[in-house]
Amino acid sequence: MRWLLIVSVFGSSASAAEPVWADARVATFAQYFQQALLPGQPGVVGQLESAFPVTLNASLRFGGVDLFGAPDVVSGEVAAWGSLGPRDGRNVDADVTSAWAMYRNGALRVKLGRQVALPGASRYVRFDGASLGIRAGPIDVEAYGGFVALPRWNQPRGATVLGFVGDGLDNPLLLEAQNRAGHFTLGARVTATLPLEGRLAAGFHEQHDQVGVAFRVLSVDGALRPVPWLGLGARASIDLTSLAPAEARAWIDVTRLTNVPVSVDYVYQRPALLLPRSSVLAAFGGDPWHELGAETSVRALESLTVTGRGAVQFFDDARYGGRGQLGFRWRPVLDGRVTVLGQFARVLVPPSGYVQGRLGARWLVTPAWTATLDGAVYVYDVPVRGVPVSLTAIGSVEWLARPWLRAMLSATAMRTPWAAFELQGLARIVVEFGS
Amino acid sequence: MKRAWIALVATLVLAACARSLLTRFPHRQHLATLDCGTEGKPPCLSCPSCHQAGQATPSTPTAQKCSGCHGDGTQIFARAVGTPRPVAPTGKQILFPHAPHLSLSQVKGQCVMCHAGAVGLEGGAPLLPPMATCLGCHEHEQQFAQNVCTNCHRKPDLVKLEPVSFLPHDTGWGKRHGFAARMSAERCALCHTQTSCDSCHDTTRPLGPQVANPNALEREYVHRFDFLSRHPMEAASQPGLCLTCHVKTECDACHLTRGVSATPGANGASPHPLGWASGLGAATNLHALAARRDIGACASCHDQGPATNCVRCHKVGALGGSPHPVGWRSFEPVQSPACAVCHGGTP
Repeated sequence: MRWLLIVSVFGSSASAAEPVWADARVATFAQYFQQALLPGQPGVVGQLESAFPVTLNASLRFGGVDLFGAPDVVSGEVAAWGSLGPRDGRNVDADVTSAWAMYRNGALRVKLGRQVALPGASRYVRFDGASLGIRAGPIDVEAYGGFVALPRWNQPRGATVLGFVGDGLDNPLLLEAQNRAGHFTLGARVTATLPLEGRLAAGFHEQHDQVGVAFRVLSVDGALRPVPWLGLGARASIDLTSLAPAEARAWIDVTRLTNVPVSVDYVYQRPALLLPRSSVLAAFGGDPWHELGAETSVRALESLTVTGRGAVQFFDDARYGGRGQLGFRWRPVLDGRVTVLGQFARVLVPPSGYVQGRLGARWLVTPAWTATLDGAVYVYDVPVRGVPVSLTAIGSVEWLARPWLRAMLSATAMRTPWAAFELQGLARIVVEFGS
Repeated sequence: MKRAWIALVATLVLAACARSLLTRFPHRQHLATLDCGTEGKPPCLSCPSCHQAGQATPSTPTAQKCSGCHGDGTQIFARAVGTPRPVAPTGKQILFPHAPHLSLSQVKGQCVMCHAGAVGLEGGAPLLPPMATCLGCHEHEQQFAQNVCTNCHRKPDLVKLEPVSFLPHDTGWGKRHGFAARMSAERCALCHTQTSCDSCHDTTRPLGPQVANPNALEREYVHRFDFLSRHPMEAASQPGLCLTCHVKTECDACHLTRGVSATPGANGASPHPLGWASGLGAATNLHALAARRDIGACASCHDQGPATNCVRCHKVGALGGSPHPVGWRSFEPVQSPACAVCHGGTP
């Protein structure tokens, strides 16, 4: 049984005075919970530990700043979080997630600081560096480069504090030797804007880690809307070190019937090529897999939308898998006073898989009070730790005390293969300052 | 039991058919089909007959307006209009001066040029025109192309709005929002910050979005509910997808403390069955099949660089032979650290 209590305070302010503007947001979470290494090492009874960190999230976004006589050319964003109090063997923890300023004047833009790049390999890379963009008519060129951001400055990328990692991260034998100097990235992207809402782009992304080249990827992507009700798109990433496609996607959106939009998509991935090239295991290749899926939302009634998704996966070792989901959203009153959601999903991953059923509702009891209830049941094809069923439920009540103040209480109860009974509580207060 | 089900379904259907009070007023009947203007008939109506003109946002009529023609105006008003509601919900109000728009030559003073729903399907199409109506004007097309939204929308409202007509975040959006972000990051930045992307994609944050926002009913958080039990199935269902946000050291860190890692020295029990990687050709030797299908799953525990136990056997001259698949090519020099594990000594 685990108790979790979170108290959070949000604050935000916005200065609408033009031309300079700024939006700030602060979120404070105070938590108290018991944590244990579940299931723990084999044969060992997990030891419960108390954790009560206070976490502060803060972000600031600004724009409309003049520079060198040019009006409204500088904008930027800063975001960071800090945590104080025992958790996971730490008492203090903090990180900066974004800190950048951008100069934009006409066709030129320069962005400096901690920012993210979305290279074609479907990755999400955060780096400290610079990006430069130039637009000339329908052509836009952007180049970027810098050091890959490592959590807490120098920890291995992704070695996040998961809540129970303990000694595993402290034993250097268990980790790749890494330091910040070897982690750098560079890349460029050219985008052409075409008629018929078309765009065509090509990009190159290279990323190094301490061991060597992690990713060297060429990507192409494009989109087109030949008629207003038909959208087409595709993208592919090619691993240049092995000259093989790492990933490809294509989709068709049909909105001919506005109440029945249909989307069909195809996905190809070769998992080994999504590992960093510095990984020894990437050399094993592995089989690619394919997925063909479709999704539609049918607005059966003014208040009722039914959504269906289905996909089948083909693995090159002749196995298959599948995912299907049918859900509905029912809003009996157009102003959204009541929303009811339901989902039924089936996932096949031979020899395993699961069935999910979900029912949730939100009720705007009065303009000031909102209640939500959300529950799900999972039935596993192969019992997990001998338990074939998970039951989870989340309930919350939110109070809009003032237009700038709202408070929420919620509770989560779960019965899972990992806990006979788990209960979490959460309290949140949101404060907004001006606009 | 069967009756109970029928009653439940019937109740749901009937309730779903209940119409909103927002658009129940028979606009078409009053504006287009009313027999009017002749002797003995009421005067013809136009939009300003009921909606007070001269304001930035024309007012909602009162019961007195109905009483001007109907004897039981108050009752009719209560039945047809009900409690007056804001013309637009909070956050969706736009900076829109009606008077200059009505004087445009294309509009010719006719409200229904934009509010076509008023004389269309009663209770059906929304009375508020979609944004596409605004973008029918050349000036607004230009502003839209330049990502200038604040001429019509209040900036604080932008973050609360969902683009429903030009960039609907609905069917299939979850799968392709990254593509859209690559294509036009500036457009995304009108409403979203990098921090909003980080709220899901930055796995180093101490509090996941599904924990911080338990009341976000319609957000399809990947890790909502009992993800711990599901994660091996999700990873196997779409191999490689986890790597969008996570990296292999995360997997190992968790597997290690839970005793399912094969990391040397971790005192962890092997999660694999007997014979998993022994007995060449044996029926229980299934590790190659699993690895071919999702080498990423292997990497979640086994990828420790030169210490990776796979390459003890899978190297030229050893029992496992070359690990490279048919057609393997690499432009990396064999002295590179990853290659050097087998080809050039330890890095």
